[in-house]
Amino acid sequence: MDADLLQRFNPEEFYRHFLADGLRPDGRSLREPRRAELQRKALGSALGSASLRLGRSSALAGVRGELDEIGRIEVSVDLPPLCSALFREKHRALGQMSFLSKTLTEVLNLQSVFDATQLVCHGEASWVLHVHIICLNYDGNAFDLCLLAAIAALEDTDLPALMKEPGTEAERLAIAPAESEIVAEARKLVLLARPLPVTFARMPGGQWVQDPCAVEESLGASVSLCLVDGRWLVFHQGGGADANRFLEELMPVARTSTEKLAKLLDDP
Amino acid sequence: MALLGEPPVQPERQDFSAPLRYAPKAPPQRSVRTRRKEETRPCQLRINAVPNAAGSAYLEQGRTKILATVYGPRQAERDRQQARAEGQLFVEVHFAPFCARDFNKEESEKRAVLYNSILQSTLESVILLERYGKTAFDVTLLVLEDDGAVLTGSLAAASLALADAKVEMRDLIAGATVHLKPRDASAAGGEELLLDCDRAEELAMPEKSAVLHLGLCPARGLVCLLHSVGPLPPKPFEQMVLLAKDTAEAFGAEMRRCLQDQVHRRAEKKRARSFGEILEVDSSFLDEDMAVLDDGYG
Amino acid sequence: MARRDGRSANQLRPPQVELRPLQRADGSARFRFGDCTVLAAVYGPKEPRTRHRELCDRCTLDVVVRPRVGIPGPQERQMEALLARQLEYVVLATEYPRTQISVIVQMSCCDGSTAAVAGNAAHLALLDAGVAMKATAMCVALGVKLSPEPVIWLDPTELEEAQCDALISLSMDGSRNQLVSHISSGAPLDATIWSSCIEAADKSCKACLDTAFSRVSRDAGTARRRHCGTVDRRGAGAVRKGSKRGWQFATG
Repeated sequence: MDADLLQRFNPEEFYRHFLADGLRPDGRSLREPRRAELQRKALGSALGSASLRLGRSSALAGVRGELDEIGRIEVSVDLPPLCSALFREKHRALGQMSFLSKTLTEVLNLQSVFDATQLVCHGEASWVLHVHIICLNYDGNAFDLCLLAAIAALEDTDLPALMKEPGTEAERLAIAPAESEIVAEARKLVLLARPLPVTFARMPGGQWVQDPCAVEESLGASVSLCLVDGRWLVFHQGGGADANRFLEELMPVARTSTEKLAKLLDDP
Repeated sequence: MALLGEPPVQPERQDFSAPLRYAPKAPPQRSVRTRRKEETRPCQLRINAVPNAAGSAYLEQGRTKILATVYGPRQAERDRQQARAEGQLFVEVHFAPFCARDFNKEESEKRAVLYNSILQSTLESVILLERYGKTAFDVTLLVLEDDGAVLTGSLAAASLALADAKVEMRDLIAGATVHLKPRDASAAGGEELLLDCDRAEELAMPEKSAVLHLGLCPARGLVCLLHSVGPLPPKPFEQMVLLAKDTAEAFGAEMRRCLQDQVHRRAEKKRARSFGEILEVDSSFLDEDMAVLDDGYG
Repeated sequence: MARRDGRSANQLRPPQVELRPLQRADGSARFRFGDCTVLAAVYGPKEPRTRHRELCDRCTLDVVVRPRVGIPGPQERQMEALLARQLEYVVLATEYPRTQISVIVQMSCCDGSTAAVAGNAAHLALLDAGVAMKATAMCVALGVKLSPEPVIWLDPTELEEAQCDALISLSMDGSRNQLVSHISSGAPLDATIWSSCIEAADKSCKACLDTAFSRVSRDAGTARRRHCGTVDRRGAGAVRKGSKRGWQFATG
């Protein structure tokens, strides 16, 4: 049979041929992530922004600031129908979007990751940072893509100086132009620790491949491990995995590859 | 903290004063036009920005950034849309929440509805829909950054994406936006025509100013969209249309060149492959026409 | 620290299973851990409502989660996604090409571990509907308290969830000793805690399964008779192939 046809109609069999040789159809080995490309300051209209590509997956993250009583980070992930035909059906995207939004919000607000006191600006007001992540092209591994983009955007964020808004009765703050009486300093956002994600997918033969593309994700379960300060968060939705072994098998691999991710984020 | 299931009960707010939650107002930007009045901002076009889509284009004009994708032709759904002899087009415009500093969700949704209908009817007039019976196209536009001239930019991006998807069309559509600044009461001189204003300029426009959006089919030389808001006396109107037409023609030539480049690149790659030469392609950045087997619609 | 209801750390609330509380659905089940109760119903395999949902080589699994009050929000959507992935693993989807199986999960009383209870109810409802499955996937939730020293609480109530630093929801395929899903929220955990969590979940899932199966086999006779009665209602063309298999699997 024609290779293209086989890939399309029986991807499982198609993959089996490659995996037998320890390779994947795109030429990667089993434990090889795709090339990552990060661009900071991708947008002028956000407090901080970053665009990230993982192979053919790409996402854009932008940070917007609001003032509220409790300072925190709120992440919202959008998988619009333009990023893949998989998400034309809204229902299908919604589950994943709310999973990603909630999980990333939780991870980034962890005490060991983010110190919320740096968001306090004046009196009762604190910054609430809305991190909006829009996937522009979806080719698997949304978890790593979105989390890394969010981290890069937050590290890029500069909080502007604030002043009391003139001419309003209620105490409102406004972004201060240069040389005015400021009540809250401009500052750069700092993360205490970076939560670094690594995702694996389980292939039909039982092997785990790192950084799966969309086809690989559809073939089996995927597990996202997230290393925060030497400890782990695990997200594994559906699909079998050997109960006794797989974490011991994957955790060391994940640990080494998070070092590479840290380098990517450190790169200016 | 609940893992899943019902959200925890929020403690009720004690004070009923005005809610604090708001986005701090940004200082008014001074609009300084460093360009000449009839000069556009630098523009960049890129085709095939979203490899998953059947066709896509990315347009950057000044700081305005627009991404357009086309999925389809796909089978028209039998339940909702009765299969018709003519193909159908579904246009959707989205504004990203970070597209502007003073982003307002409701306002941008209203704008999106207006743009949807304008773009839909304009694009329908150039696509040969009668050749796509019982099928449908989804055209999605995402405004990543809004810095003026979004409507005409979207139009150009959408038509490039359609061309990239190899949809049969009568022509491309190039667009231009012209603002009319009325005569200053104090200063001498007539009205001012300003081409391709950015957002700061738009916001700084005085009352009684007008804006004109023009869409032009460059090869046929026909106007396919004319949309204006504000009082327009006949004489400056004529000048505005002419200015917009000239700009759109130049813009159309650039779009054409961009498409030709893409075709050449594809042809080159195909030739290289057919001669059995070794392709030096980074495996993780597989090129679009090798990697995309599936536009998702079977 | 002792638990409020006097359980030891590794003790589940008594699981209770009620099969076929709804007569009109093709399969239904009510599952409870203590006070936490969830009702699930299964409709299908049936013709998909839209052509878009039809897959030529398998069935589409449609999961809808309804909250106790109000309209579904992001929480429910997330649970839908989790349940769908979990059930996709166990259902033999290729047995029912071009059909749709709808699972509707109604929260009726929430008292901690809701995701686990919902997972169990949905799974048992599929079993009751006689959908062919390759494995069982029972779920439990765990709460982890890190200070003063790490404690793992099995099946936490809502009050206990509030005291825990991290919550984990696991689903296990008991017969193959495979993890079907597991998801954590809250504080990150050590590798050692992870492995002890998995071990605890493994044991309790098996206990859960025993309870469920004893109930299932008790009801099997009456349920099968009812099943025969339902064939006519659904008319010709309805796929009944799986029903027998499901029950054989359940009792044996």
